[in-house]
Amino acid sequence: MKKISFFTLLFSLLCTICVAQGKLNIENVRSASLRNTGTIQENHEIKGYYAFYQSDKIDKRTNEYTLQITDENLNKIKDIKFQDDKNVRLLESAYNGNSIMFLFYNSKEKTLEYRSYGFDGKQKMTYTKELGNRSKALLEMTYNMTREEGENKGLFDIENKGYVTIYPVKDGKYYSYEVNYFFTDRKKQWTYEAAEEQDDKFNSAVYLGATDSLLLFEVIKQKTMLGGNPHSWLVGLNMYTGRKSFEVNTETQGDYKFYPENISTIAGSNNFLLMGTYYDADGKIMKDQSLGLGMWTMDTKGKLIAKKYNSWEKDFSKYLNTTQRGRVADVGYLFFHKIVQTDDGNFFAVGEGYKKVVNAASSVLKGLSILAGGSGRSGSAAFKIKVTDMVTLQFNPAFEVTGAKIYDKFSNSIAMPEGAGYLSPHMMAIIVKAYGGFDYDYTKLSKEKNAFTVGYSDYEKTDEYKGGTFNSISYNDGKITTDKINLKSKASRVKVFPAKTGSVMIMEYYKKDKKLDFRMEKLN
Amino acid sequence: MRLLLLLILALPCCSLFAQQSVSYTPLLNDSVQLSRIFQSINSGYLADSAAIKGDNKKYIVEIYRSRRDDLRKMFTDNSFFYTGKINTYLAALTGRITAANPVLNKLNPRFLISKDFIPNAFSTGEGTIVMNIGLFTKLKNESQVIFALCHELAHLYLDHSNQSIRQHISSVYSDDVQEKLKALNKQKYEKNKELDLIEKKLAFSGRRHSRLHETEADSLGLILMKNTVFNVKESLACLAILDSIDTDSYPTEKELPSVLTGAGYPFRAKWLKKESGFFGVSAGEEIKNKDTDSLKTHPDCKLRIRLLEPAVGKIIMINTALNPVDPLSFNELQNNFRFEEIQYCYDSRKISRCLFLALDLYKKEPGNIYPVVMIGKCFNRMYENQKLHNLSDIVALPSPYRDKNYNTLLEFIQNISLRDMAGIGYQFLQQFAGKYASDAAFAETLTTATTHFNAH
Repeated sequence: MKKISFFTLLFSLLCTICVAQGKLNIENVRSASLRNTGTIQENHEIKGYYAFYQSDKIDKRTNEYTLQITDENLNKIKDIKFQDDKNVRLLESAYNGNSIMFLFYNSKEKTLEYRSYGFDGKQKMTYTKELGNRSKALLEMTYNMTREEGENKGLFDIENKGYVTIYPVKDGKYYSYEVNYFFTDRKKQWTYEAAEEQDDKFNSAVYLGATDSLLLFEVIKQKTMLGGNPHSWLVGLNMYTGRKSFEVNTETQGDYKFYPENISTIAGSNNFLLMGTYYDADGKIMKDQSLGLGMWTMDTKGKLIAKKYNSWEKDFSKYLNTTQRGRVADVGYLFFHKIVQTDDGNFFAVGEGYKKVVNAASSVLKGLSILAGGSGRSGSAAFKIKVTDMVTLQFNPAFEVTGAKIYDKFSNSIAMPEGAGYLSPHMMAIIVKAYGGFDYDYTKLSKEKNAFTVGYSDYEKTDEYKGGTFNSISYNDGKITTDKINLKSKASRVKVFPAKTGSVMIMEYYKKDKKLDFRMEKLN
Repeated sequence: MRLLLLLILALPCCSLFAQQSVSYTPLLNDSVQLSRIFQSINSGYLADSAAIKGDNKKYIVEIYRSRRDDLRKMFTDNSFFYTGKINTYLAALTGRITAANPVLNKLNPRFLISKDFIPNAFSTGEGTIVMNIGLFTKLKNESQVIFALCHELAHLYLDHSNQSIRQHISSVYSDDVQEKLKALNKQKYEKNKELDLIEKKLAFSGRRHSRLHETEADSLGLILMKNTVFNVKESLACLAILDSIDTDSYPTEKELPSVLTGAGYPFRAKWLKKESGFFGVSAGEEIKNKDTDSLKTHPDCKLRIRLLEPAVGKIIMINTALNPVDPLSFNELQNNFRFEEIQYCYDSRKISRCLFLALDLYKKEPGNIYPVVMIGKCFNRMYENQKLHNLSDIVALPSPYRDKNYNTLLEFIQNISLRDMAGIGYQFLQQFAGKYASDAAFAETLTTATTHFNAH
């Protein structure tokens, strides 16, 4: 099911108040509009929600805004009022135990502004970053892309210590990234500009997580935007100084090329675990499919200490009907959204299946174009990607496969851009993800790491029910349970948002009454 | 041999004793009488509306209508009692006030007892005075009930409610405010800032009046009470009870692990895990205190006691009593209302509150079957709603604004799974299966719980 962007949906829900006939009262003169709402997260866990209102107009360029903060049970905690430019937009928020950080973006002024607030509602810190034209375009591209609901893209909390932020920049000829770290226990901040020491033209980075002293990123480097052969690097930055602790090529450290997707810290040790897909040492991520899932144990200097690989061919085939190249019967290839480690040391990988199928519409268009004397170029590829079922893989603390399960859902198809046929299945999956084609929404792990919930959307077409559904795979007390919520209701629109572990927040919008209801429901 | 004989004789007695259980049958309402009462409220509304004069008639009628509609909803929701026993007793109580204060006769007040668990009494302003059973059960004697009713009668006599409506309407629709609102409606910038100032001014004036009204109602209420045979010193005791009335006494954290545990489904510590919330729980408490202080419309009860004390001290009491009307009926109603508030919560789908009250009653009366069945029914209902993802319709969410003991129960409900709901409810009932097997309501509740339990 194609997802509607969080922002698109909420920007359309502007509250308007009509002026009644006859005498006036305060409420029908007052005007306020809801800009957007979002989650406030602490270590990937939902701690609360914000509603960002325009509460007044101050002058031609300035508005008064109100940030209404609620806790995870929708109890109102605080209203924060401030004045800012009329073009400001609130992108993300995080909570680290002693402050709440908000990331604002002003498209006209081309600025990113980070502001943190304490419990008293007073601003504790602010930091403004000016963006160049190309950086602005990159940033907008990042935030306008359909996102995995409830997963932050560029702002992350470090418990009781600070916040780390990452965003793409265009610096000179380089497409690069910039990392900022804000200490919340002291008035200090550092910036790491990757472009300063960049060789390849295109670098993009994803924040993986943090240890006690390191911030870890997976950096993909390539010579050209699409044609080059991308290489994966692991970059560790010292949390306290902002200096690079190490940068290692994950393709040359082990026996295989390794592409990390998650990190997990090890209790009582400074070492950390990296999990991700691996490829043949001479394979190419652009063309080949992964061989399986691997786990590396690394030290704080980026040295590989231990490794473990599980191949599709041998290890997973005991649990799934897999081919040597990672294709699962009826499901297709697997794209991994998240790998989590629970408090008992076990790991769970959450994936979604996809297949390459013929795009009938494109073939017809191509045929008509040729008949009409054209070149046969239709703008979309002759095939599309069919997104299939959800899959969870389970591993023991030694990262040995102990189980796998397929969760059936209705498939949907995403047309691919022209030329995508030359890409590897993995690269196609990245395009599907950017298009919002996957049904996966989020994974929320409890703070104690003893429970997690995976949320995904579906569109059911059966005799009993036809409409959207929200589905969950939950792990609690060592057991996995599934649940489904039908989203068809009397409301004009229903949307499910992430909530505290084991729950969801359901938003119902009643167009006729201009009413927006939020309710919290536990999952089964 | 003698010992054996005694033992044999004692066994059937034990068994007979075990089968005996105190139960409770909810009171039946006289719907015809209730319908008549509402008709009289509606006639009063029509007459009051017709009598309003002036430019702002439309707006005042609008508020009167909404007041009438709120009462209608309470009647529709079966929120009021009308039973022979209750109304006879209520008439006897209130009759003492009106008989001793002929000045009240022209008001023709109607007294109603609401099934609501919230400890409150109120005068709606059009002649209806309501006392919730949540308040009735917390008061210690008839004199305290009388003071609460006299206080509300004083509001009615002094026309406080209607005065507030008229004052609010005349402020909002005054030429001055209307002019400002018209100008603001056209104003592009800082419109809401100025609206906030107007609103604050109006709210401040409203709150000031409200506090003044409460003090006036205490004073006049005391005068009305003084003319009766009730003990006026209980006015101060009543206010002292009101001061701490929002605190729930059931020690949830201590009790739940022993009450909700069964052989096949032991209580788990993690079910009582508290959510830390933003900035820790203590911060939530800080918000609670800050907000409740700033939003309080009633003056602090301690202050009200201080203001009333000199007047009480001056009253010479002759032939007064704490319970001069019918102490037996007072006690009987207090007892019945503890069951009725549970029943009403259940019927009005306030299941988390129902469970809380039922657990409290179970602690106080462990031999009574009624709270046992209601606890079982609450778990059954929660299970059924949870299965359909609409638990939030019947269960409140934890909040730093709630009382700690009730909040602990709400957190417990959030922490248990669907399977737990089935398991806890079933095991709780199962321990009474032998004792209450012959009770139809118990058997039906246990059958439902068994079906839920077996589904997992």
